[in-house]
Amino acid sequence: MSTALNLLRLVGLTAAALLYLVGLGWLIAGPLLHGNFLRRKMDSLLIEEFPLILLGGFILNFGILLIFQKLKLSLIIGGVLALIGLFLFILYLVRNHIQKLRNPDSLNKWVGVAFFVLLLAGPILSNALYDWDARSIWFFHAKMIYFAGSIGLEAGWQDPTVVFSQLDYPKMIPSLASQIMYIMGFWNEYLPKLSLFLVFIPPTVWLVTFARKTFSYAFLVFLLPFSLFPWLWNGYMDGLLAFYFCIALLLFDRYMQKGRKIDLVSSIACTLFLLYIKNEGNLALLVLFFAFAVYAIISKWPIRLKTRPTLAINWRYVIIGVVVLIPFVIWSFYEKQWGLSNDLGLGTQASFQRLALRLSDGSLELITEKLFKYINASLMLLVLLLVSNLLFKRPFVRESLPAIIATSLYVLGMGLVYLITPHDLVWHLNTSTVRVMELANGGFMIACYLILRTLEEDPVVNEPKPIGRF
Amino acid sequence: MSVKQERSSKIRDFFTPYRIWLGVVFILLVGWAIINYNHGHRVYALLIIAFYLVSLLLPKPSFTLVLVSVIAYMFLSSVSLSAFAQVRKTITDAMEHPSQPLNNLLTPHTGLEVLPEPVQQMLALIEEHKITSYRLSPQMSADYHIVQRIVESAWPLRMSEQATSVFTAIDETGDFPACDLIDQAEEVSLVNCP
Repeated sequence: MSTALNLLRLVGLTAAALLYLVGLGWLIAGPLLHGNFLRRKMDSLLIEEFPLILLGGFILNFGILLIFQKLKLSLIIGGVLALIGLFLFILYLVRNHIQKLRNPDSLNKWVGVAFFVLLLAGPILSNALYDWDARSIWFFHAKMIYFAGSIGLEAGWQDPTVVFSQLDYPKMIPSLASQIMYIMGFWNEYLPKLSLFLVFIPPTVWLVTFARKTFSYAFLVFLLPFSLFPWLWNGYMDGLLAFYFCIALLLFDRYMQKGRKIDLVSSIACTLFLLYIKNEGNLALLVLFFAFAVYAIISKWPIRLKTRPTLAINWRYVIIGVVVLIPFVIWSFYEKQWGLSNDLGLGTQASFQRLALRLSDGSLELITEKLFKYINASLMLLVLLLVSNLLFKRPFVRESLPAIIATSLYVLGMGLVYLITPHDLVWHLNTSTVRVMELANGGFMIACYLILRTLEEDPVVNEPKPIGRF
Repeated sequence: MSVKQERSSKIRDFFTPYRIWLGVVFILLVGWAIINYNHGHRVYALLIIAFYLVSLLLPKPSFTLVLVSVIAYMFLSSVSLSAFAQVRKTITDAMEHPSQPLNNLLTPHTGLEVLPEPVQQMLALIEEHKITSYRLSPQMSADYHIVQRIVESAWPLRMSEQATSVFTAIDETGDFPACDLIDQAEEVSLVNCP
């Protein structure tokens, strides 16, 4: 009986959290996608809109907490806004999507999402917070916010005994964890991970929208979320960062293929969301935008699109873009105000001195070797597929370029970070390379997937010409 | 056509730009394989060279070979298999004891068993003696694993230099002659140093 009751409580809590996030998210996603809350203007499916709505919900919820600081007040205000948003969303749903939801294809995809999400809910929720950063950083911050009932200074950010805890790290997921525990009224080492589960849902839904009955899709599903083990469910943020990075690349590719605005908006949303997950998200965001821009230029975008975007600035997008960046700016402001500086000391004179020193003392070789160790496997597969492409005498798969550029730049950027780290280099490499390179592995996997998909669809590959014997 | 000219023409016919390109790629792949081999990734080194040579020896490039190589890679290198094992274990455990994961999730203070033994003992002493602030002995403070785990697990109780309640290692209690022994656990003592 108590098991059934507990199951109901857990399902109820998760459902309430999702409804809260959808309600809040619709206040951003509605105007972003359709310019209003009720009428559908953009050609998009609900399954494509849903993850975007959730991202909007995460960001708005975090923004409200940062502005009002107190958990109780922010949840009340967030709750009222969520109710309004949810009401508008239900009206929108009834008017525009309810008929389509009964369509077997649409239903199948939703069932696929539910299956996928539930499959991975187990490992996320059934293991207590155990690993180092999960306990010492991410969920410790959640605990500090929870016990203070506030994300403000009273949480203890300036307590000298917690300096080990990298207090400047982004607080979106810790805030969500603290809100969940605040609602429940107690703390333990399992339930805060529900926040990870919630943040894991949007990229999973997006992944299902790419579903096709092909080997390449099976390859994608086999490798993308599962190869991020255990970083996706042990309480570290590296798995989520890599997952969102990969989905941003996939959505951008679909936009370049089909020219649907929802994919571009979703890709940019995923990219911006990286800022809220982890500090490495700043670098990931820069390299993604750079890669997108390069690819857009070399593929002569937007000339080849059927519907050419106008050059006039769409102020709706600009305003919403600014709104979703506000929480990031507020947290950066608090960081400065409260003296929560980053331990790497990027851009300081000392960092340049360390850079000069490490370039000449053999550290570069050590860093290269370590980075290579952890990206070697995915790089090997990329080489294998590039060689296959050559053997089939097919042109270079240009679609893979954004993934290759962004990932390579990310690896270089991380190499630079290691060159200037104030920590003992060997210690820093040994404790972080394996997980920060998950994003690079994910990026190279996406490049592999895009090459494989192109080869699979290429009629010449199915009727190959002889290579010619030696 | 002289024999010499005939030979030269045959060589020219053989060395098409595509074949030259294949040769260059082969040299690059050998280099890549050597780097991998030297870094201990011998399977990858062999896989890539074997893939390339077999592809060249086949009458036509084979997409099946590409797929087989990709699948081989997935089995050899990916951690996905461990992830599947973990997912399966979780599901099996949950099916056998469905109440346990739910109780863990919805009961206060669960999950503390993952902490190191001395930290669990300190938490028990804190609970038992209703301690309001604490500090660690020099020996305990030297172990940053213990420091971080007690700071985060005992939170919101804060560690303070002014605290009179001091946790010491069991073999270190004699170093605090001016303090009163309050309680002892297996590895940790609690002393009061006014």
